[in-house]
Amino acid sequence: MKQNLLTISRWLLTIAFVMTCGNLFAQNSTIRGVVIDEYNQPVPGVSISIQGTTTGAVTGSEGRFTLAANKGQVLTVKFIGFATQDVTVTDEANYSIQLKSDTKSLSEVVVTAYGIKKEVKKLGYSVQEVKGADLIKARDPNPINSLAGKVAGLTVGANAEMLGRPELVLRGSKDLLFVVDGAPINSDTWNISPDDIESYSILKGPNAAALYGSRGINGAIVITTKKGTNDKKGFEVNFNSSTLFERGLIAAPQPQTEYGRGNAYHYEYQAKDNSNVYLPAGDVLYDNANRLGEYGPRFQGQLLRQYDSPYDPLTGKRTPTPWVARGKDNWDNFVETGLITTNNLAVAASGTNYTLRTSYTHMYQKGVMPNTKLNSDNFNIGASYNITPKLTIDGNLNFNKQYTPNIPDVSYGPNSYIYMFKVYGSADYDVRDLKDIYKGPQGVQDLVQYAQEYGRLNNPYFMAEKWLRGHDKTDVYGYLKLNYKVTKDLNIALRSQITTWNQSRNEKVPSSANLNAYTSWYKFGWYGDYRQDDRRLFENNTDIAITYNKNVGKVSISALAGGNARSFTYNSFYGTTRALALPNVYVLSNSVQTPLSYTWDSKMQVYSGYYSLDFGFDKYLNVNTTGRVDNLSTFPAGKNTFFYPSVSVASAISDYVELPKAISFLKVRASMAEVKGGLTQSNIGTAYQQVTGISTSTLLNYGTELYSSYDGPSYANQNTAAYATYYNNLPSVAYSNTLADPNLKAYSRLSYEGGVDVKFFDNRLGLDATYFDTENGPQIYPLITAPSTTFSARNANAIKTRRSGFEIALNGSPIRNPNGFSWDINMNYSTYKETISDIGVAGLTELPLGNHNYKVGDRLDEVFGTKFQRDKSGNVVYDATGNLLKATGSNSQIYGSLGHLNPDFSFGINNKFSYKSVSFSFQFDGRIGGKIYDYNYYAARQGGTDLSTVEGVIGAARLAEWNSTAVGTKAPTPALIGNELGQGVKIASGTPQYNNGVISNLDQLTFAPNTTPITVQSYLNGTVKSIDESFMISRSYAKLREVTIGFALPKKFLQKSGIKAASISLVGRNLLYFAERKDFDMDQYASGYNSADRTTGGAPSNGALQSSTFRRFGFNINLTF
Amino acid sequence: MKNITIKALAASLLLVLSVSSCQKGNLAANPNAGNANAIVPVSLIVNHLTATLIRNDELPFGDGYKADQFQVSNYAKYWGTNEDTWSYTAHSYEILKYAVQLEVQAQSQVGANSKYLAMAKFFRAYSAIWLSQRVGDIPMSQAGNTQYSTPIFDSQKDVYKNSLKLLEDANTILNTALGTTQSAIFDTGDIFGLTNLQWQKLINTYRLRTLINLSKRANDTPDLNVKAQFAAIINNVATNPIMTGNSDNMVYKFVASNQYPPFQQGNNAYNEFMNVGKTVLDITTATKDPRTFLMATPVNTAANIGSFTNYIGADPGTALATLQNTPGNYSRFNGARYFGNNLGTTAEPFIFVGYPEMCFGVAEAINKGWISGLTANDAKSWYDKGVAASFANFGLNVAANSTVTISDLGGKALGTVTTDNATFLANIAYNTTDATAANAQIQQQKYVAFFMNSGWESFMNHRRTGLPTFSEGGVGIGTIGGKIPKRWLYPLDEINANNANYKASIATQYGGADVVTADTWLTK
Repeated sequence: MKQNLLTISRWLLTIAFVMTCGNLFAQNSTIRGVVIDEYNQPVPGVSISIQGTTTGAVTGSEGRFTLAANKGQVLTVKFIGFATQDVTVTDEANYSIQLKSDTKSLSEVVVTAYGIKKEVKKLGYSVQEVKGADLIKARDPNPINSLAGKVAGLTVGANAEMLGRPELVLRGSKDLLFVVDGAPINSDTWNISPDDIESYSILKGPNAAALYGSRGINGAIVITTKKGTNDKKGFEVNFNSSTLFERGLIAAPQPQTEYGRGNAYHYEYQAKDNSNVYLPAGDVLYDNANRLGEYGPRFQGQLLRQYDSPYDPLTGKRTPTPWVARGKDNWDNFVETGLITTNNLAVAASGTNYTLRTSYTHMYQKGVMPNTKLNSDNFNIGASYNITPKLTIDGNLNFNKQYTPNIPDVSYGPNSYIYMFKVYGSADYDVRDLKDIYKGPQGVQDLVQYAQEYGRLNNPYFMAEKWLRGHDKTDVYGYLKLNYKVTKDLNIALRSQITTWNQSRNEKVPSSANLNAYTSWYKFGWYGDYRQDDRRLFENNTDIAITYNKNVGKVSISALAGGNARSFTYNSFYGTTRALALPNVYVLSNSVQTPLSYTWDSKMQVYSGYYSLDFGFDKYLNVNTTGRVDNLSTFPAGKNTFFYPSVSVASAISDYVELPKAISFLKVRASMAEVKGGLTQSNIGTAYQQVTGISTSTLLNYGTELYSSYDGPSYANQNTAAYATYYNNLPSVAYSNTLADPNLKAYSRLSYEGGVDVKFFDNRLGLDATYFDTENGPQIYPLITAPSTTFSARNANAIKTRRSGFEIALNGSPIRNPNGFSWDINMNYSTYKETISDIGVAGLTELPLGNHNYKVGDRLDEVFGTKFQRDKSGNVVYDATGNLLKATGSNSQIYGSLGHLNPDFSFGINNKFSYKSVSFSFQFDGRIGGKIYDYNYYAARQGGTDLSTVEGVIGAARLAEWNSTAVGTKAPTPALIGNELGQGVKIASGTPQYNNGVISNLDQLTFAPNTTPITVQSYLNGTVKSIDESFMISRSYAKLREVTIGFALPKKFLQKSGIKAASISLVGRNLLYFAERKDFDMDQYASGYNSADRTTGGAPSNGALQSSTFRRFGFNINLTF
Repeated sequence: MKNITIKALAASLLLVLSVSSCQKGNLAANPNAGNANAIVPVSLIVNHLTATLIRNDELPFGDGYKADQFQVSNYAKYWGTNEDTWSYTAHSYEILKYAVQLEVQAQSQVGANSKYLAMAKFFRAYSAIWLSQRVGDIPMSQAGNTQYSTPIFDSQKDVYKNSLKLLEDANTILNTALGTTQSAIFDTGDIFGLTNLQWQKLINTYRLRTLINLSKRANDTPDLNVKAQFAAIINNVATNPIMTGNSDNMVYKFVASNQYPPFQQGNNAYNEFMNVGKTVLDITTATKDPRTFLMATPVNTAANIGSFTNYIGADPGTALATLQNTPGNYSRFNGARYFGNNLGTTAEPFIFVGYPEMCFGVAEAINKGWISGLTANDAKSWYDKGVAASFANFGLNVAANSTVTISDLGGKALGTVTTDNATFLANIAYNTTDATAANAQIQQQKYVAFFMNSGWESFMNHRRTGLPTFSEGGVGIGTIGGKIPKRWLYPLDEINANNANYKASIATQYGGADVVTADTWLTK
């Protein structure tokens, strides 16, 4: 790190040097100006001439010019693709000239790979751009979350957790590459300040990203930062402030508050004993031997011994108190109003030969859960300077610091508030009584918490105040670039870039925290635990790029050749105590058993050469080809160098064919690309997981394994012997279980894409449609092997999948009146499917994944699980015990299709209405189709907590059973026959056979009505738990994601105040949610099946309990000076 | 201007050079682990083999003990069902993998024919038998050899034949390799802490287990030579040393990092949701077995806790929903013993392969007439040794009455009872006149001695002998007709990745149907 700091300080010095020089050359004796396009982008190369003279100028790379001119003279501003403009020189010394596009020939420009700006009409592949300015008002603290619903083909699974990374899915692929100003950065998506972003270009898939090599295989988000200012005076100060309040879950499990904790309608705060459950047992101070679901007595005010019933320490007796639903509103009483404030101050300056921008953003988030917060400081400084007209130097440095003493960790376990309030949420205690976390007689100051029970749950305030998860991350990226314009056509650029971060997380588990049944070294009365997770990443990319542009007659050539050296290092550490020896001392050595500590490091070097060649044939055709050679240190010598190409073609038909007047623009395009790579991984977990292959959530039995963005070597193709320990901390060895393939080659992905851009009615309506078809493979695939080989898998170049789909983006301006009412609408739609196209291994005709064998042509997101058994009329079949009948036998007998995990399609609709200085916009987006396993529902049902367990037939049976227990003093008489789907039937004769998860010989069976009663508790914890079908729900949802009401203060009010522009907006996010079941926010589960790591999201085997999303309301103030 | 250009160029070039550092050397190799072909100390491999030998389902309160009908769940949420609806089996090739590595590493580090080679042979045999007795034919001769990606299936008979040979060879090697080191600790990596001689005893005791498990094939497979092999061991224990007492048992000792399972797995708080099985308590209460008091809690604490009628086992054949509603009608596990200590020090030692089992095995072999020259009285003697050894494991002396403390599930002492060993011993006195009746006694007492130890072995024994009678036919068993399955389906990955060989094997063994109701050759 010392080395890094030294490097950074050198950078800063150089930038300061450049800035100082820049000021020396500022002049004021002539007029100055900037030429920008309709999107406020500076336009270089614009010729400006003074009418009637031969004097003139051409705008520089930042769109700026200086010119000696007298008052009254007229400037003619000319540029291809734009309408020529005349500007009269006045007393004003500074001019900002906005070009209006010549509607006939549209010349919209987007940023593509390597930060190269290209005219949209020449592009042979799909790129969609989003302006940064569109995302900073109704803002999300995470800049990438804001892209949700705005880009066709990009699905953003906005993570509801504080500091959570969104799950990005682009055309079915996760793990996108982030590029800032042309250079790849390692991003957790939080190390970018939205206020510094000029635009986001989404390069959809390998066609657009071929130049980035294997890292761009899934597509890239190319971010262009703001540079300098477009202000005519060359100086601008911008202040942007957002304040958002969080409150109210848009989706949450609904718990019942009719029955409290307990078992078989009985509960008392008592010692465990062997007698009949209904006979009172001995009193205890700490009820730590019982762990109970919400199957206790009904709240009727009956007298029971409870945690806060008066306790006589001399006799050890509790005096019973009334059993009432004191905690009906525990959740609402516990959560607080969250706050997110973001303040950005940016100062920018531009001159004829320099630009400068410096920006500071502070983001503060106060969580909805008590005592959770997050701070993020972001400094960005960028400058460019034309040392000579031919030589430009520019640099940018982004410094981001995130720090918090406590962020929540949420999963199915004792650390989750959702778990404790909504899944095992007994209403028998009032959370407000627990605010005094060390209250006696149970509580002991700084040692033992005062809690509602000591078996499973903790005092939530104790958790909030004492069970802390700290996070501290320093993240820096930046570059220095030297650009030399050899001739008008030839340009050489040299750049060196670093991206580096340093992250430390820890968890302090306080003395007396109840981790019963979770962490193996826990025991009641322990002093807590401590864990630490440190990670460091450093990456340098140095590249040289030579560009050449030339027009020869009607042929235009644009060529790029370059080389890149990428150097990567990563170090990680994970350590945990195994029970603290001294309470309240959080250091790793303070451990009862030897603490566990693990390190895991990696290094990688990549050399690449690449080219890009564009040919334009007059107005008819543009052809682009690219090629790249990669040399990866992850493969052994001799197998580590590979080449892959791409080609794309575009033709703007409207440029040379007379089309009906309604069609103002028509372009067709097609492209293909191949990308190769391998033995790297996108994300990385803890050092513990890297070394042992076991997640920390398995080690601890709660919490979630933390993944960081990585993009380094995976070492997945090696036969290794690693250190391991299995017993009594003795050293042992673990050999790898995946057999390496010494002849393994890079994987390959071949992608085809075709599309059409049409604009109608003077570009008032635009349609962009793309069809893509990707052949993914042969992959580097760990194929299962026969266990008798003593390996579980072997690496092979095998398995091809085919992913195809299409995207449509529609832009319209039904009403366009600059001085009156305008309406803009953007809509997008995307869909894809992924199927197996080839297995590619001799002797293997099926691909076993999970509990199903997939064949060629099968969709990989089809999920298989257990199903209800039904008779011919559709009645559910029960067994002799009153439980649901379940299939038995082999997988193909037990499991049947439960549907598909991926949605049929995703959509987004953006509407913006404006009238003079008032604007109103809203976005509605969602995903339609598909299935997901509702783990909340599953867990809350079996816990007896879900509201549905006191409603309908189940609720009626529960009440009848309760009434049969004589106020919880004897065993209930079972009262449930069947379930919500009806009484059901049972098999009267015949032996069932199963196939595809259902009875296959219905003809040979006879059925009779099911008449066997079962208790509600037995039913909810019986076979139904293993019937996946009963917890599969529709994955369709739609969300009113953002609403903005903006008001721009009229200029005339502002003139005297020195403020150039001011706007205020009222914003709301995540306001409405529409779904079949609203107990969790499906939005965050963007990926159904992901072929990159062959994981499935939302399948029964991947249950999770996440925080739900909160509604946000607030306001934004934007001032420009 | 020129000056500035040069300065700026120089400065930025310097920066580029200082930041971009090329990393040299072999970056492809994982720096966080060794190469599989490098030297790995044998004791680490010994540690892996011994530390992972016993599976979770074989440890106390693992699923095996439900199949053994010792343990009955009354709440599916925490202890699963009592169903025997198993399908695909796990496999044991991981043991083979490390046995192969032990051979390779011992060869280079210790030399040929070392005791490690003997140990490797034992683990090879153990691995093969473990899987074969569950499914039938299995890949053995080509298994674990990287030349074969789809190993052929060896017949179950060949698997047993090869395994017996491996065990015999292991014993032969130890006879020469150990020399004067018999009483030395085998290896620091061995978690069982056995001496060299104790390992040799274990291997021969395991040979006896394997041979007695072949009882159904003893008469029709002369090439296996089951009876003669058994007799050869018993008749010559000098060259085939076998266990001589409980001190030779293979006992898994629980330690802070590997606690007694209800504590390690956090299920201790759910211990009220299981009962002791009817199969075992019916036997121990009928015979007035003092071990009853140590296994179970009385159903009615208000009644006579010393009365055997107060100890009632739960029937796994009962519908789980019924058990869940009436758990108090049945005995729980003795809380003070089984849940009194997180290292299991209050419970009987957890035996994985032990002396009591061996005694009953020898008694059975004698009873079957396998050992010429030995009589029913010799069988009785071994039978009595087995009972006495089991008593000792419970901390009881078969020869003298003891005062035992009865506990409830929470560990609270309910009072004491003085055992009546004489009545018990009279009730189970070995029948020297009726071989069939005697065999039933042997199997019954062997079963009781297996209480919560030795993994699935009591299930395997029941499968072979039909003794003692298990609860079968009830809805709680979960299978069609409540039948207890005879075998498992093959490991799913073996079916998927070695499909042609699998199909061929299934065709020859079971007429093409891989079903759990079919008998393997071993138990046909």
